[in-house]
Amino acid sequence: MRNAFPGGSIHWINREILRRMTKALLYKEWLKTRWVIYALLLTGIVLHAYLFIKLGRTFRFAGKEHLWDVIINRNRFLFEPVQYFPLIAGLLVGLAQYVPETYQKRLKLHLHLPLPEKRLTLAMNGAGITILIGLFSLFIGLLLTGISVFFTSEFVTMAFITICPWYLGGLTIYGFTAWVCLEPSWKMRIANTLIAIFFTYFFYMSAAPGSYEPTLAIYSVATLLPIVFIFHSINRFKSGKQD
Amino acid sequence: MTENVIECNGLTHYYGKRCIYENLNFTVPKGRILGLLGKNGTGKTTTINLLNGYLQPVEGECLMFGEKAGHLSPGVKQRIGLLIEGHVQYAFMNIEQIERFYGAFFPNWQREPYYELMKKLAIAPRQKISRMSCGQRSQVALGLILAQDPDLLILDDFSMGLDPGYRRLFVDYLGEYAKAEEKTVFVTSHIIQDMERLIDDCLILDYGKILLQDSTHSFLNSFRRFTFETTKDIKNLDLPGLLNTEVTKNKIETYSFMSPDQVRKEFISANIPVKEIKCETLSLEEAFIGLTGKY
Repeated sequence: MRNAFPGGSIHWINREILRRMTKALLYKEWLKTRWVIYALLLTGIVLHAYLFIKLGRTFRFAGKEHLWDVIINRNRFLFEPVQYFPLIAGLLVGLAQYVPETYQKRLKLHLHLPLPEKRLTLAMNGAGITILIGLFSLFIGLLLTGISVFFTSEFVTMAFITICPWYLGGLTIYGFTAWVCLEPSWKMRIANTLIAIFFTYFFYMSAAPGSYEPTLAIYSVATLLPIVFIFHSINRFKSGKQD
Repeated sequence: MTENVIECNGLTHYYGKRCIYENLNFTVPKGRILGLLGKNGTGKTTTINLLNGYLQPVEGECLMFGEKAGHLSPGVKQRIGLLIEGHVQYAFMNIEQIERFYGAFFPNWQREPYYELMKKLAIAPRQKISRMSCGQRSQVALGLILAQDPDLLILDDFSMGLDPGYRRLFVDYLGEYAKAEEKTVFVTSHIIQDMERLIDDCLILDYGKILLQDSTHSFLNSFRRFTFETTKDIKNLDLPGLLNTEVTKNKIETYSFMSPDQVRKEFISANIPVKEIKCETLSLEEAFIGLTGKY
């Protein structure tokens, strides 16, 4: 076949070719991020193992009453050390994906691939989000399962509500990292970084149990915001904006 | 009628207040090899960025296969092989991974010639591109373009980092391949002596303008260097039709599209006595320097 896109339209595309191209795009993302994924998996397992070993020790030596006192009367969340794990994960996956694309303006290679640009951008972004959702689901599942061994279901629900904004913050910082990396001008990158820090800060303001419960829906919607910004950076790159 | 693969109309571009060029018009017909020549900063890479839609011109438009640059359909992108300045490629991949990656996007992908070329590089199959020498990286990038088998090859400074032997081999191969397969090539290079063996047409840019747009054959047949002695004491010489004239003591060296007789007449009318005029045909590199000047 001479041309997979007669007439230049995506509607003509053979499903098999589209599948092969998408697979190749995902393969590239895998090559860029695999070491970060391994490192995050290892760090996350070690972190969660440490938390449960510590909890088990406290449970045995200080007793259940002491733990309840810490949770109820002192309003403390026992798994605070996981707070910044999603933030670091989002940042690292974002950097692993987008720094190699922006170094030497390699984004030109990506945008020259024979697929619609929106699809190319979404595939790259979608790969990162899928990786993070996979990692986050694993560790949220691990944490909540572990908690359910020691505590009641109400506490498990409260723990989920507490950690939810932190994990949403991880997805948000990922989007912002992409936005900052893809931005072609250094001046704008600095401005974008400041906006990203300011915006992401709201996801990590409190570690008190359930403190984000009333605003969780707003935080969930806000997580999607940086995706719109990514397209803005790509348009600026394409129009040749520079310092 | 010959199909124009590339068509640029009224292209004007500025970086801030600095004019790169105004009203640049050119076409590249199917099957021709056009060399874009110019000193550093005259807008060669800018033109390639405009063609590929990585820059928006202030005015004018570029069309490739009839589609507007910046809005190329996937079908047209499949027909264009792009070599970015510096032979930029995905350096985190090795030669197998990069072949596997690109192979999925192009229907005419030819992996055998690519691996034949890679065998000559004497590199380990799992060696990352980032750990290769500059010349090896260049050859991987060029090998990928040839494996893609595109109808239009856009090569920005393709000879950078290549050793002389491989440069010659590549130029000869590309020239024969383009002619045999009726490929269109748009190429820039700093090594102009390579271009002479390759290009059918040349477009020479100067700061803010086009100096020349002609077939290489016609340019080299009409543009000459003239050297002669004069008895008159001359400091500066600015006669119409003579370019980049240099006066050293009583020796004059100048370049022109005029015939020797016309040059002689110019000097006589300017009341400058000249002895025997030596007229030389030039290589492309010499002609380029004659046209654009040494500085």
